[in-house]
Amino acid sequence: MKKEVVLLDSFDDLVDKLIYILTENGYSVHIITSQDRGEKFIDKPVYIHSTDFNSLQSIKSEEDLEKVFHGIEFESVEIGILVFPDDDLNINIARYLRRNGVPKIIVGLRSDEKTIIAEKEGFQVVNVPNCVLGRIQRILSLKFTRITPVRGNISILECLVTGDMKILGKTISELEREYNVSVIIIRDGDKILNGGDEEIQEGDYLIVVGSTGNLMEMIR
Amino acid sequence: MLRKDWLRRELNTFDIYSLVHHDSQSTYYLMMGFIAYYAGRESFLVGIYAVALMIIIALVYGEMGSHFPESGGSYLYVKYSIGRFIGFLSAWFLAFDQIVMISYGTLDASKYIVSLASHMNLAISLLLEHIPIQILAISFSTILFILTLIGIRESATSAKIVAIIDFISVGLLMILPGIIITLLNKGFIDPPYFKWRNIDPLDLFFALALASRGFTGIDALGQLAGEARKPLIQIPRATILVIVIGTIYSISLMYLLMTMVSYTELSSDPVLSIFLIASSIPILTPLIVSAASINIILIMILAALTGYVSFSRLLYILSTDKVLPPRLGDVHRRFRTPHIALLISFLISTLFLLPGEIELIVEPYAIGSLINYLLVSFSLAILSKRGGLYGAFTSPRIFGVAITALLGIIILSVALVIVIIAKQRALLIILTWVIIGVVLYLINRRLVKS
Repeated sequence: MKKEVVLLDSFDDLVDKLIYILTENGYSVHIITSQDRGEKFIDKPVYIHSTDFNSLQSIKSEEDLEKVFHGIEFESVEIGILVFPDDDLNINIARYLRRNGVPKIIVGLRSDEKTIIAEKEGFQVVNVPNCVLGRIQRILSLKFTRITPVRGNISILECLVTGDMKILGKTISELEREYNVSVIIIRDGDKILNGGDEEIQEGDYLIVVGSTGNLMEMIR
Repeated sequence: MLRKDWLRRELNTFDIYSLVHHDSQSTYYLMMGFIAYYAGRESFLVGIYAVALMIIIALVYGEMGSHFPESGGSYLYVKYSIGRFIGFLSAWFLAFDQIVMISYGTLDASKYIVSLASHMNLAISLLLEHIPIQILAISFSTILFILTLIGIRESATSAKIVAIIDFISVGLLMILPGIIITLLNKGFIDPPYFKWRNIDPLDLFFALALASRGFTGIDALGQLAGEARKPLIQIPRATILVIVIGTIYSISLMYLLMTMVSYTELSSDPVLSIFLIASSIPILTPLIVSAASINIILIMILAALTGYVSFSRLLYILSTDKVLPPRLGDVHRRFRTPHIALLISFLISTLFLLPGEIELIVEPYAIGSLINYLLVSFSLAILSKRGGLYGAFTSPRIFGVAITALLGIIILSVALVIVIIAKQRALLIILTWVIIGVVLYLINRRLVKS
């Protein structure tokens, strides 16, 4: 069934990573951004809701929110992710999404005071100075693909191997050579395999370390 | 085991173009001879009208498609701007033509093979004459069903190969030498009026009705967004390819037909217009004729393939959007294609094939598409006026409304009136199809609510 996410632009590279992870996990993404940022997302498979507001901070009233979210069918929206660098706007939109029946809402916040308010209202809060992407991925319990940046361009990929993946049937050493990565297989829940001759099978859970680009290419 | 129950994004711009190319070209290849037969010395002007209509439809779809990253095409467009029920109706109108395209493409290719084998005195013609035409068509349809089931990548690769064959056999071997030879012989000043007969207004009207149906199939552009890597920019780019290549082909072929073929020759069998042009090229004639004939067969078969892809994706999105039963949205575990929707496409198109009559299939064809295109034009007008959803391709605005939408509304209204007047008998079939759709919609919505 159709799974939709409303994602408020973070105005940094976090939003790109979130889009990649969410679309890789089968979500249809509605990105809410400002008028002048629409073009930034045209090479991504997302709906771009570029508001008439030059700055998202000018969104205040219910009428503004109705205008911004026009055309989104909230009955299909499973998750709202609000990581704009303004705590008040994130909470304001979280309340609007809640009123429209969105079941899971994740709010990125900076101030402790706002965190307490948001948690009291039942929102999932991630504190922005911490590893936001990793936290969001854990909250969402993504089933198929997670890529968590570690340092610089290096990331950890966690992914469930499905029958349609091109890496199926390759050995660990083949993958490591081809993509310049390190691979561990978790099989049958608790077996850890790292021998070079181990073949990737459907249902395996992979932990892979490598450059973000190579990891994305590996699971494409 | 968990599985990815959504479509795989694998298509690039040329893949998308190739899948649409056959659907729109096949209709024009078939219609061109009949348009010329009825339009007589006005054929070139009627051809220009057909091209103008194609350009407007493509621009409307390209602009709308640059806002939507998912499969569903016109259903999503109309639902977003006007509402779910009208969105469903517009998609249901279109679905009729998509399913007809499967039957019509496979049946026409089969008939063409039998005629060609007989015309060329091939040994196999004796065997083919004893096989019911439906069997041959259903065999083609089965192969296409399997191909579209295996994966969109495989379907796109087949479409690309045939598109390249079409560029070589029609573009390079027919159009290019044909135009050069004609210009060398006649010079640039000779207009394409030639010595063809005058026609009466009723025939011209009928020619315009045929021309209005000349390029249906462009809508497949929107169905492929869910399998495109970068849909918001690839759909408009594929649209530009459709416009440029479609225009060059259509104008040139009509020019060559009127320049190199006599009206008497054309009148003997208008369906063979491409074959007649190929036969008139004075160099490498046997090679060009053979290439053109094989190309026509391949184009018809691949048009049926596009029918499979479009119809199944439409059922898929209507199902995932809870408008049709959920099983139709099932995606094959290994191939990541909507296998139940594809099976339904196969079964319904086989029903249309059973009588083996092409006229029966073609009669109601394209009315639904034109209604759909008109609704999409209205949707673009509303979307552009209201704003909110960012698109990678936008046309100039008049009072805030996209100029392509305004042109679409005007020209498509005219085209629809012409076609409805000329094809009144087909309205009953379309009406029956709509009633079936509305009943399905109401039952399913009630089930979803309960």
